[in-house]
Amino acid sequence: MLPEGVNSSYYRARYYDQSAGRFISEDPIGFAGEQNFYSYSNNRVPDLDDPFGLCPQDKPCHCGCKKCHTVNMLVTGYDNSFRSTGKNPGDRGYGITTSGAKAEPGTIAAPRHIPFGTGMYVPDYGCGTVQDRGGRKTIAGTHIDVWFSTTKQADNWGVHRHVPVEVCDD
Amino acid sequence: MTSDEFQRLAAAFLAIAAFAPSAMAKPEIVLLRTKATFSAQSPESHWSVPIKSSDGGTVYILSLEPDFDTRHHVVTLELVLRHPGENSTSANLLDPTGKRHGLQAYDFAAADLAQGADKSAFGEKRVLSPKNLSLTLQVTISRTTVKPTSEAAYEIERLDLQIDISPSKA
Repeated sequence: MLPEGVNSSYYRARYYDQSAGRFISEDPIGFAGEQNFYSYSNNRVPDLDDPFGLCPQDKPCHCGCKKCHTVNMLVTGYDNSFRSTGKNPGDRGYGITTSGAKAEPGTIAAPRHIPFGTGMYVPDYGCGTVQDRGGRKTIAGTHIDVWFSTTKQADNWGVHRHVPVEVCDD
Repeated sequence: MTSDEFQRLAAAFLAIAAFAPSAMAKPEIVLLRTKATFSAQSPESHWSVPIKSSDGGTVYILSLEPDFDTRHHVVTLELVLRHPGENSTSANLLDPTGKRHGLQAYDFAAADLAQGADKSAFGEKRVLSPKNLSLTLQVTISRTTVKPTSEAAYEIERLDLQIDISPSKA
């Protein structure tokens, strides 16, 4: 029984106190889980998923990836236009990414600490692979650019903040 | 102040004003011919060279920086120009906007070089004249060896560049 006045929410297997920012009933798995019965997914949100309070499990990954982790990213759009690449149709290297691959739907420009070939799932965009780079000042940290075939599509995408992007670890 | 004194003072002022622009002009970049080399045998040893001005000071640092795939193959080498003291996250001054995507003339991608340097998007001889930097780089690919890593991907085993740096009017 919960004390009166507690602003709580029931999350399938236990209660969460919104004012305290913690669970107020024990994880039903008890000592078989971790020592703190009031935490969630060993406090490794959003890597792990534990909707029933029973056992932290890796979230199923999209895009055929076996293992992944989620990073909140700033996601903007780009295309092959002069504005994005400094090249016009017919110019040398037009439509070619920094890795040498042809730019196509699913091409992602990511900071240099994310290797070429890294798979990603970007909500509302879909599956993609890091094949491109951008300027070191703009495509840096947790900012990525997703490729579109037209400038209009890239502009329509706009700026998406705090996007939970799945980064494949395979 | 007498009329004579005023005239002498005015003449001195005009003389200083006439010579000031040349006296305050930036020292010119010193001609430089150098060879840049990358070898996959020692991928961590990054080539770099200081670019000096006529007063003996170092104006820029030119370096060749590897960009890796998920299996640590070197997929692309980027020729990077920076001011002395700037770190690896600082912008490449060869990118005039600082936010360009896609393969550029200062990039050397294994996939783009796979059919030979002469068949690469920017050819084996490239001229880089970054705006407002008072220098021109003539880059010639003198030797390149790439090998396939999978069906559609390549890595750079070796790249030798002949680089000629000369002053240019900004």
